[in-house]
Amino acid sequence: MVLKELCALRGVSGAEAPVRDYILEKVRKTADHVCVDRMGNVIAFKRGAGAGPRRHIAFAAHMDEVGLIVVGINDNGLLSYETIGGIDSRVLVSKCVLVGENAVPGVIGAKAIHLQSAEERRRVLGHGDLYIDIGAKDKKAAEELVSPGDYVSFDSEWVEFGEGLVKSKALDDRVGCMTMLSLLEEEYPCDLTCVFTVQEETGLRGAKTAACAVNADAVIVLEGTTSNDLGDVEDHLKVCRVGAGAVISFMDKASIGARRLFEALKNTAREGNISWQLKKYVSGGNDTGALQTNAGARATGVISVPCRYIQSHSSVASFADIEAQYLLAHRFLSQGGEF
Amino acid sequence: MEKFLTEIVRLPGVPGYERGVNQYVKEAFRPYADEVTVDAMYNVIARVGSAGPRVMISAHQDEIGLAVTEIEQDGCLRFTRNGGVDPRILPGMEVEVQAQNGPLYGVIGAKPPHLLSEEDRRQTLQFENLYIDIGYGAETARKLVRVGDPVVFRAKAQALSGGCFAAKTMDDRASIASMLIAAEEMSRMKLDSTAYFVSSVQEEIGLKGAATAAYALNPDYAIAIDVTHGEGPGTGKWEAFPLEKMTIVCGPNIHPTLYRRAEECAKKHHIPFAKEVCSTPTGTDANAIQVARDGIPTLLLSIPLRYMHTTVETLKLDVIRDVGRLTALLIQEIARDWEELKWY
Repeated sequence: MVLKELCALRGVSGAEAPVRDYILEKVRKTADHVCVDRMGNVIAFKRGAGAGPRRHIAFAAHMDEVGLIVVGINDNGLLSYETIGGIDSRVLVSKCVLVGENAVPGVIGAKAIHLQSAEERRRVLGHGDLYIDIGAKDKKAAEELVSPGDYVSFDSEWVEFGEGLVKSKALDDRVGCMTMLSLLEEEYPCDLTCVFTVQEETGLRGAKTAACAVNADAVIVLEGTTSNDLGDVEDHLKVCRVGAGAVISFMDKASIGARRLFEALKNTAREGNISWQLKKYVSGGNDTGALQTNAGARATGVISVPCRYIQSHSSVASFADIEAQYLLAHRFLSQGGEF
Repeated sequence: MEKFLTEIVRLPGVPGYERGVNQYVKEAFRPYADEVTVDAMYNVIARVGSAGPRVMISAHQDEIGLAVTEIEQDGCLRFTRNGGVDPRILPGMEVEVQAQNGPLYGVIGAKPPHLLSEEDRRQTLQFENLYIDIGYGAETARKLVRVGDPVVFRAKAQALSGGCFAAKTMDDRASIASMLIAAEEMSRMKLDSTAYFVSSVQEEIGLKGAATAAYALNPDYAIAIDVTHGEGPGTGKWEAFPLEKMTIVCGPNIHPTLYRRAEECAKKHHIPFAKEVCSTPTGTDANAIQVARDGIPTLLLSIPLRYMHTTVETLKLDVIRDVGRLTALLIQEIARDWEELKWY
């Protein structure tokens, strides 16, 4: 399964090469023109069918995933790290990670509950309290295996469970990458550009340069977006619900979408009987923030897959929602990308 | 041994529900034992030898975990802990609900940080703020799960560099690995001693299995094997020990003669160890065994591990072997001069 393979690849922002190589191999077979820009973004172009004037629609999804980077090796052999992308320190405790290009296994532990004072038990462990332990007995032993600057990814298995759900790392945004790989396999009556960006998680930095290579009538970002649909969250803060369909955004913290495109996407979903929902809470931001403005004004839209526990080892999404994201993008292109 | 550890930590056995581990433990001891039995509380008792002094060796099978307390309207499960689980390890943790018709995968969720108040963000999440997401709506969840179903953590076993090994439930199945090594050595040496290897139950909630096994076996003396705190981030002086060597524990819970004999034996055979001083009754099977019947002289050998009661309990494989070897050698030496041995 392409998504399973994509999620297993290690591509923390700034070190996306394994994901890029995988994608390049696929898109070189399906696209008419492929290039990699100087940031490392992959831009794949496929001409539309038929002669005469046609629309040009671009899609974008990011290849990178959140992770950590080693900043120093302590005398006791433990590694200090910083986060790449927003990661809540609480989800790192008691987890396995892989360090550097050689994927050296490591664990992130915490002082045993038995040894904690009452005050320590109440206090959240911050990133400064946590270390990566690769089993090295001292600094010298650790230096033989890892170096400061090594990228660290989550070590997390692909698990299918519940009513058509999957748990993995990096669902945000390998789902969007997979949808674009599928779109490039089809023929459409409009021109299609698919942009696989780097460094979304560090502040939309890949999209900033990729915008210059995209000369389309509209850009639609395919994302994974946060869903807080369970537990003690009030309804208006749930953002969207897992299993309720592809998420169409009108705005988020990085951009306000083009209203006509937003309406067109909703209509396309309705007419095609594709399950969809609105993103009902303005949170997060994605590559549209950069793609909309970085190379002149551009109409933008967003179609997302809801993900629970999004920036952790254990993000959860629904296969039906992933399918709905594809179906909506596919139908929109099949109709010529009109909006 | 890595294979044994990788396999045994996957088997579910929260306190009171150790049956999931029983069969595996029985089969593991069978090649070396004259007899393997299981008692009414699911203690697995493997006997090696049939003459000389009778010694009980004990390490616990049970693991810390959770139990389902409520199935909510949105299908997620509320839970409480079974054993000393640190709630700080729970956000994003993977689990298996041991449901009636087989295990169900789940992920532990909580309100995301951006929806918490500034003050709440600084506080540890408590059990009542967390839930298990099994990916089903309420109707299906209620069919599959019952309140009271045990929940175990799901985490992989991982070899690290430097001969280290990280996994859940190293506390205390690593010590069962040590017992297996001792049993193997003893069956080979044909000792003039009878050893009862007890894989005990319900240690984590009050040493209950060891107490009943010690009562039933009424051994001449006992050796408990457990894990102790390894030096790691934030540990203080004297409360944690280097991962590279076992500890031999001394203090009121330990019979002084057994401590002395263990220390001599380790030195003689060049087995590295640290001395661990424990002023109170230990939180191990040794505590219950010492005061079983009319008192049983008891020793405690410990394997230091980092991050106790997490799913990445980290230790050195060599130390597991050393503990097994020392156990067998000590039993052998005590058997040799058993007739002359005086406790006081």
